[in-house]
Amino acid sequence: MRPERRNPFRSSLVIEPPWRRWALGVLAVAVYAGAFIPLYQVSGVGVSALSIFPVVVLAWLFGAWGGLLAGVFAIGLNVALLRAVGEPGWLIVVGEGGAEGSALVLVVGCVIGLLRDLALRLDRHLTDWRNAERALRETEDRYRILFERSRDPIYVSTPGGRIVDANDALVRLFGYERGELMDLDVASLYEDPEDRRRFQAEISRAGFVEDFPVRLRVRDGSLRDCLITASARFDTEHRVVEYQGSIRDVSESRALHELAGRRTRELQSAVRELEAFTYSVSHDLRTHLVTMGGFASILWSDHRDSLDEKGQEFLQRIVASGRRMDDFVQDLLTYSRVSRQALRPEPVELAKVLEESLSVLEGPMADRGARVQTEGTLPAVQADRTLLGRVVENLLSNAVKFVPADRSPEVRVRARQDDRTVRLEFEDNGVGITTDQVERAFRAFERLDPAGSSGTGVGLTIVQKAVERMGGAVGVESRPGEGSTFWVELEAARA
Amino acid sequence: MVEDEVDHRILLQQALGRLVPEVHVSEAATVAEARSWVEGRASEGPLDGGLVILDLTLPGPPGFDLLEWMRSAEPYKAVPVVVLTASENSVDAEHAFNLGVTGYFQKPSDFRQYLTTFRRVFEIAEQARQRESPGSEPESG
Repeated sequence: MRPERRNPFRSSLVIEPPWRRWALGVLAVAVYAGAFIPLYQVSGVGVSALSIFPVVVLAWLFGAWGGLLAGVFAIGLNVALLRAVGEPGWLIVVGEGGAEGSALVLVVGCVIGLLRDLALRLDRHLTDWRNAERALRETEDRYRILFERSRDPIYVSTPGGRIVDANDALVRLFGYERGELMDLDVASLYEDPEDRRRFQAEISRAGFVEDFPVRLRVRDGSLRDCLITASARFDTEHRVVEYQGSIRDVSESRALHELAGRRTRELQSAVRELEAFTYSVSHDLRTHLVTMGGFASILWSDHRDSLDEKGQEFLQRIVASGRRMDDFVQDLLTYSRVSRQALRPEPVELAKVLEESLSVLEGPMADRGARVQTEGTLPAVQADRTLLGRVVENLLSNAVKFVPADRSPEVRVRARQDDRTVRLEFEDNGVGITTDQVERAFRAFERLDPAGSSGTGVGLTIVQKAVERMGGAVGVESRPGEGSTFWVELEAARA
Repeated sequence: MVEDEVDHRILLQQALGRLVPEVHVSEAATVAEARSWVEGRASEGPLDGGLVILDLTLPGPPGFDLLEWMRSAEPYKAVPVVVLTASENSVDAEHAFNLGVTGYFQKPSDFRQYLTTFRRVFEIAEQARQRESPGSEPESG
């Protein structure tokens, strides 16, 4: 806001601060009183006529009431003063000639005071009015700038279909000259005129529309996907006078959105293709492996006597290597199945899954003399039965696999449950892993312990994939040399 | 035995020979070959004691066609047909059972499993033969 300009008219009428006014008033009275006797004695000019001076000054300083009081006071003072100089005071006031003079002084005082008050009041009104006008102009300027500079197209239009006002952004959107735009019928800008009818119906009903989707045709004939946000202005009889609104051109963002959707679908299908490819490659690899393994077995069982010791050793190496390769391919297939199979979450008893997994792993567990102990009871979880089976199998076989040969593997299985989740833990007495190995442990094909080559490096990856697909979490806490505790968090079974 | 892969044929023969040394195995690599062999064999005499081991993925028409044909023609209806396939598709298994297969097995993953698988194959074939043989209670389907 600009500082208020100083008004000279006002400052000559209002003496500020108040003590100055009082000082001037007292001075005027003193001058009058001091000058009265000498002047009267010298010139014989009427007392009332002289008292005009302080009355006018007081009326100027204090307004109508000041003038009135000063007039009454002056008359009183005159009477007192005349008595003091030996004249009969009442004569002066009410007697011949004097009465008119005194009354005149009073009236003049009052009139001057009233005029002064009126002038001040008028001035105040004028100032208010000027301020209001300026404020209005400022607001108008501000909104005009907002309107003009907005990068969103804004318009004012009539129900009849004429554009009354439009900012540059709107002119740019449609590509017409401003004049052309103002002349054309709004309905012609719609791809489907029915859209405008729907727009009008909606806005008359609700008073406004928000992000109303329409397709608009711009000058070069191309179509734009737009969202209109507008309100209606009504007259006193609740008829729509005009619409004011803005248009958002979402063609580009819509195109981007569609592009993103298309790319995502392409990516998903590429991933699916890759998974299918992995699956079929693993499957075919396995077919040949089985054949090779089969012939190696027959060679071993039927023809080993025709081989010398060295030859027999090599043959055993072929058989062992084939078996490892087969384990690996089987894990790959499992991983692929775990990634692809349809999810069927249902309440599953952990105890039952553990029992099944132990029977699957019976052979390898017995080979190592492993003991598995369950602490407490195992609750039910919300999970896919097959995936959970893979998780438990792999964690169990993992817990047994990485135990130094001089220790017999001991696995403790326990579960903790809070409201929503169940945390299942497998504590082993294996070699353990260090903190910086944890991430690698869950990565595909990473083997932390190349010497203990019984692992394929896929087991924990299968676990992670399966748990991830069931919306759970998996992790490990470990003390290197003493053992690890692998944990899985899953949703508790829904009642 | 209907199997197009020579390697698998040898392995199958070896496994069968170990279980039943006196077995006689005839080989076919396609549905057409198998069909003409079965027809030729049927014209020589009854098919008692026979068993068809069928792979599904074959060059030309799939193994299902042979199964369907054998189940629709009178002299072959009683011959047990066992599918031995690498397919893991449950739809295939369902289809085979709908066509009236006697047994459905996945190809074993090592030689030892070949033996256990064939033991099961023979068991199932034997059960099927007993059901079909006159003297036992007739069964429909």
